[in-house]
Amino acid sequence: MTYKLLLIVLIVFCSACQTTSSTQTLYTELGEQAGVEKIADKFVRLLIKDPRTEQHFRETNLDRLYEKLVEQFCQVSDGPCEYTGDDMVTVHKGMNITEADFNAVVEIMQQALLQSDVPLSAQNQLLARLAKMRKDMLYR
Amino acid sequence: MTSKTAYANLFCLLLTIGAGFVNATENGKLLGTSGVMSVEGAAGGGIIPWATLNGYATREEIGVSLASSTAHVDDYSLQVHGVSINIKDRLELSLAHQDFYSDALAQSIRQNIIGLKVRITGDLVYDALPLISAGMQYKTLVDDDVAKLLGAEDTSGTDLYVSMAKAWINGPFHRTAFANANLRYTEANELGLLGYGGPESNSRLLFEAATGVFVTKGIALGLEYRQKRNHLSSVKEDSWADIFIAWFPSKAFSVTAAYLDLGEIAGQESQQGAYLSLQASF
Repeated sequence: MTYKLLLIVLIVFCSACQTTSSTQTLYTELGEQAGVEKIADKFVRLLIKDPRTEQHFRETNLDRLYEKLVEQFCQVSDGPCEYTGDDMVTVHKGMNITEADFNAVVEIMQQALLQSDVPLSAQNQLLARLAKMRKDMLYR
Repeated sequence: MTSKTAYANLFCLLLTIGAGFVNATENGKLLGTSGVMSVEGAAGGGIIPWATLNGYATREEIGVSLASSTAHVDDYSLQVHGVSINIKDRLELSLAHQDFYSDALAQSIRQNIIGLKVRITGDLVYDALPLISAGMQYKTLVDDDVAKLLGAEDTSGTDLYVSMAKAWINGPFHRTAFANANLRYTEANELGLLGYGGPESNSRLLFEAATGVFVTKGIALGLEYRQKRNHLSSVKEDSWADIFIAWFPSKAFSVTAAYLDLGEIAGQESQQGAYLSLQASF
């Protein structure tokens, strides 16, 4: 019983690994330029409204934030853009972002992706890529 | 089951549901990443602990979790009530009360477990290396006559374990997946419900594992395996396995259901059945 179940899981995992190498970029799955703009727009709107994050954005130039987020989401998802903003360490210096703050932003991002009708598989791919920036953002 | 324990179960169930409505504040971790309270009180799945700590507290926070679980297999049932505190995502202290009922004996065996788990290093979601924790469980039988009758050496014992876990946000099928492995030192017979130690000199170092996948943001499916070995010569003990579904409608509340395959327990062969666990975290 146990071994059969484990075998099924292994087979499913292995077949999943083989199918993940698709030619379509994540940028396409997110809906290209219009898609990443929608996500960035929803994201900014939620960030400045949420009681967990709003105080960090009171002094922020929101138009610039939106613009840089569009570039970043586009570049991270292998789209034809270049992120021209400051690096993540510089941007978050002095903010002392905690683990809970970071996760609050992740949850808000999930909400923005959901509101932008991004499928769960594309959500997870984007979140996994963005999560790599965490070490440059925490406790700076 | 006596009416007294039925009332106690109902009370704990209501407490659990009630606590679920308490507004959660100390909950900086991501949904589902704490796992659920296992049958020995530690954060885990159902039948084994995982490296995660109960509740959603991050390193600045303190979290409290309550859980009420029930398992029904062919000839036995088990009720577990547990409470635990997570101190700054470093230390988990748990208390669990188990009430194991044998249909054949028409008798209850109760046991209390004090658990302690320390997160040694790592983060389940964000680090390349796994989350590593170490734990101990001090278990004492309240009803020890069956254990003595079957030839167990002791009526209390201490389990020690190390646990490793890792989650992948973008796992197979672009779903979030996780895996956990434990190494446990134990002298317990059937979790300790049949006492500790015995005449058989089998290894007391055992392997445990779990794996699963979040099919949606709030629903996880998975499997668990718990290796077990005989210390008693009077009755045979088998390894355990389960297949589970856990639903996290919010961080405050979760529901876990599982199909259990527990093998032979105290002379009754092929024990299979269902598990249900409710948890509140705040």
